[in-house]
Amino acid sequence: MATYIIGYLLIILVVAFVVFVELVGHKVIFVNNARIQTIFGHPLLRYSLRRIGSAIISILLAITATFFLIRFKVDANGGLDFCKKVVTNWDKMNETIAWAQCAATKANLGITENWFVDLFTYFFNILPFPKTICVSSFESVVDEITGSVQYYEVLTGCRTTVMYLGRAFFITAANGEFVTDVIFSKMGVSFEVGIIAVLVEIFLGYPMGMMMARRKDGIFDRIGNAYIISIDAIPGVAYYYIWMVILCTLIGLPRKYEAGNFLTLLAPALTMGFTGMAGIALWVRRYMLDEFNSDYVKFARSKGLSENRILAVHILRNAIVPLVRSIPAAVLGALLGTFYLEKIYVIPGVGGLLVDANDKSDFYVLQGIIIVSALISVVSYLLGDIVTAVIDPRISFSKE
Amino acid sequence: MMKNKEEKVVTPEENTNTRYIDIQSPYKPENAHHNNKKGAKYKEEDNEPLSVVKGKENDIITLSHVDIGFKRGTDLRVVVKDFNLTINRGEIFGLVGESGSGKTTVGRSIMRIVPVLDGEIRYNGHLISGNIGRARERELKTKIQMIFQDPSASLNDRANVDYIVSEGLRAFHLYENEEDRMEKVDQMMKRVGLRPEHLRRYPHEFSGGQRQRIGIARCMVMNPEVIIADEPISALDVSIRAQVLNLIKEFQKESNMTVIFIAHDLSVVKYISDRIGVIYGGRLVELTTANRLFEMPLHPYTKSLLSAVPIPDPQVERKKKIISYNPFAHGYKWDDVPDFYEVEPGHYVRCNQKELAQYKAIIANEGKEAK
Amino acid sequence: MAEEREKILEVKNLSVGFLSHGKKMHVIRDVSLDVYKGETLAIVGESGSGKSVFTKTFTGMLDVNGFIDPKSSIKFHGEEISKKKTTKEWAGIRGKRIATIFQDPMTSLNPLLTIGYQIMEVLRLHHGLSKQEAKEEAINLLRKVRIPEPEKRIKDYPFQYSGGMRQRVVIAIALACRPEILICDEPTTALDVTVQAQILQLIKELQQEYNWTTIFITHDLGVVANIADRIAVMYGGQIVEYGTAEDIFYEPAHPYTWALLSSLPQLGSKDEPLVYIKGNPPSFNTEIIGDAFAIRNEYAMKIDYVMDPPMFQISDTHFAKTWLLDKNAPKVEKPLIIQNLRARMKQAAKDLKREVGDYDEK
Repeated sequence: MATYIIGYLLIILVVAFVVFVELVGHKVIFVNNARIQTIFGHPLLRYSLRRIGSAIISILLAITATFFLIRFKVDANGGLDFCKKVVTNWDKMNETIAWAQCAATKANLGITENWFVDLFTYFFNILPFPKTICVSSFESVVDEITGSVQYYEVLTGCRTTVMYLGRAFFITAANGEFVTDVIFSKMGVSFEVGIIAVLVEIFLGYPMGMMMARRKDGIFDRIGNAYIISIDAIPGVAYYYIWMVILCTLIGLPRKYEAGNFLTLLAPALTMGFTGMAGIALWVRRYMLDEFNSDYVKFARSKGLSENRILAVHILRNAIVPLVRSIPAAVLGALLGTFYLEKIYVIPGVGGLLVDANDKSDFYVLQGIIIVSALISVVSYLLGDIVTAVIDPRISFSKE
Repeated sequence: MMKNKEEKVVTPEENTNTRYIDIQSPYKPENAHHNNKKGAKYKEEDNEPLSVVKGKENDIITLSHVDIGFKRGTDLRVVVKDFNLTINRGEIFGLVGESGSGKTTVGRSIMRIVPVLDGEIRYNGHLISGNIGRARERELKTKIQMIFQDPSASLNDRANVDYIVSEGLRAFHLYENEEDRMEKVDQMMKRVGLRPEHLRRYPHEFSGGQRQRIGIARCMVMNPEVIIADEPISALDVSIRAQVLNLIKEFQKESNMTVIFIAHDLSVVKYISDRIGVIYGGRLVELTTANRLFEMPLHPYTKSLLSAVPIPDPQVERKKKIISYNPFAHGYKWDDVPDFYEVEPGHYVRCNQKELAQYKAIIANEGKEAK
Repeated sequence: MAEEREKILEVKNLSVGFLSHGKKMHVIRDVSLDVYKGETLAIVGESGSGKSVFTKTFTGMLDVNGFIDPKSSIKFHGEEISKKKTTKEWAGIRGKRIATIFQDPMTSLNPLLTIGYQIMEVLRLHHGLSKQEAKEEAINLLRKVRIPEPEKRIKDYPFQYSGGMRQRVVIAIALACRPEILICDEPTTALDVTVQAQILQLIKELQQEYNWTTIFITHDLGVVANIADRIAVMYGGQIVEYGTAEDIFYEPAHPYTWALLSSLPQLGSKDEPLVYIKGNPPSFNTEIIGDAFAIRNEYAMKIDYVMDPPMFQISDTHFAKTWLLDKNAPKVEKPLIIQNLRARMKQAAKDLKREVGDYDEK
């Protein structure tokens, strides 16, 4: 009960806060209170709230669209295709029993005849406030004499959760589990690899781009350019294999993923990092060369500043501003993993889960991944904006 | 409650980012209201073509009580306020002011590039501001053309000169057949001093002066009745400026067009224009003929502008004293708000009653001295 | 008189070229000029005349593909500086003893750093001041260039300033080094006339206070009249005429200077079209034979197409590079405006109710 009260209170507070910020921002209340104006009337705050608001709407639209697409698939051909898929040995079974089993499975999934009721149930379940979800499983039993079908509902347990994304049913080893649990556990694995890869990308990509720009057309620049072009030209999958051969076969790093063994993370992380760093180096180089030709760098040079100082203080900072926006996206993107990479190195991550769920039509899992990745991208763009605003004084969100 | 924010007064020179507040007169809350919302919504029944003159024969463009502003988030930044101006048919009208004074905005509002918040703009007596419908807007664009400041930015780099010059002709089908179009374009190229073989080249192959001449050709090929030249020579070398000025003047004489010449440099404007309007902080402060403005500048801002004009004579320049204009020196009060008064026939100054009397006295004195 | 003054900069036979697609293009061709201590020298020319490149050699700011001909010599206080290459070699001169102000104030400040930081950076580098000292000095400098409330504005970013104010900040930065030479590369071209006048005034006043030498580059002779003691007119990578401001404005001798003066709208009259220079400045892609101005010059003689004219001396201070001054040259009718130059100038001054100079006509 207490969780409910706290949860609802929090929601009311959030709504009240949004209204308050908008009112202050529009200078309707607290017009003469400079302190409140500067804190709550700050354009960045209002900008972020609006951004979140519009993001929520777009996520809802995306969910609706995918929901209908999936439901269309389920109900296509009178539901026969779907039932054949979910009921094992459909052809060998008595038709009535087979349909009954399919219906039971549907009931387990929460599929009813009415699409809209299901959609709104789903919406209600993903709303982030505490709700108690009781999970039951349906068993169908056919009365041999009358031929009628009876359902037994077996309650397996209740749980209070903030967001309920449904349950997984057809993917291996996770049947009956909450989708959130499945995704989060896989995410942990993906992130282990991904975050190392992102660090490699950033800590190698930025210096590489800087060095290339510093000595344009020098030896290093040429080698770097060749590397970048080759990464661009060869498909990513092929590149992953090339790196695998180099890292595992030649250097001897362990290839197969083992939970808890740091060494096994290295090969996939480096593969991803070395590939991703090319893109970063390319942009760092481009932006820095732009800055090299700018008037204020010429002016800084005419002030008599040393080249190193100009590079560090004037060029680097300005060149990085447009790049910093993408860092939160890269870091949070690491949560989602990459399918091919996970396949090559046998990593049980989100990328594999997505493909698995799609193959087996486990649409709650599929939709769960879509929602989570949408949330991640919204949050990372928002963070990117905030980071940019912090380091670039020119940005004022009140304009445009 | 919302009106009281940012009552700080800022001159355009100090900060162009701050919301503009009328600096000529003390802040009046009722000024902030647009009681007459005509500009935005109002639609007039008018089926006559634009070339038919309604109203006064001599007035080609009239701006009455025009307010122009830009919305930035919740802030409304009014750039031009209560702007009244009549452009005579066949004159070159010089509009002079510093950057941020709203002179470009006025020109653009006539071209409908920026919408007006309030008031109305008329062409030959026909309403051309606000909601006038697509057909009328198209019609207007064949009548008014614009020459832009930066010749390198205003020409499409990926289109050749032929395309640039005949784009307007194509858009409005102002030619009978392909031959006719080619002839028109060729003629225009010759008129602006470029050769027909230049037609196949691209803008980046030309110098700044040549590019500006392409810009002029692009306008003139449409045979417009009004040209709005927005600082057409500011970005050019002095030696090339003369050529562009001559061209504009020649065209004007030949086809008796009306030219609105926007600039920040009075020496150029004096050379080219018949009448000059001086704009400061989004309002006209003085308006008279070019000669009279130099003879008898009355408003202190005009005087400061005149004092800044460089004269190519080292000894005169070394003795030059710059008069700087302080908009608060007028000491206007709430109950003593300045307005645009006619001091002598055809000579208007923005002033209050006391200043008006002073200015009239100055002019009377001048008359006596002359006798 | 000029001989007695101390020469701060001596340029001898300076040639500057650029390597472009394996081809050498000479954009400064054999220029010699002395700059005297404390004077204001204006270098006037159209875009492409090489005036900016010329002054860039004084601080070693040529683009990477540019080179100075080995026969050239630039002496700063007697020290040869044309052979210097790296930033290290230029240390102590560039920015400290010779400072530069560029044309566009909107882009010559780093948009991401505060005004204060950009001034203090120079102070700390060249004078080794502590942070606190540098801050105080920066505030002083901002006050010197008449920026109101410098204590507050020191934390501002460039985007919060208008063009005129930014140019003031740029001047403050140049001032921070207490330079001996200040090179102003078209500092007022991008500004309004009123602001331009104020900036010129400011430069003049500060020059009196700090007693530096100004080299002022512009394409507008009208601006130069205000500030210059001496003027050098550049065309096609060469100085074609130089002399005191009076020499150039009252007794111009080179047809190019005539054309520049005639094209000023201040001297034009409403009833006649303005004079302009036909054609385009020479391109450096092909070698220039003879006088570079010949093809645009209505006074060009046959020899102009064949031989480059030498520098003729007209008076102690006045030199011009045109065959018209040769003793064998025919007498020419100067253009109308130049014939009535004094009258036109007086008229222009009268129109603007300015005090007319007392220059006595020869």
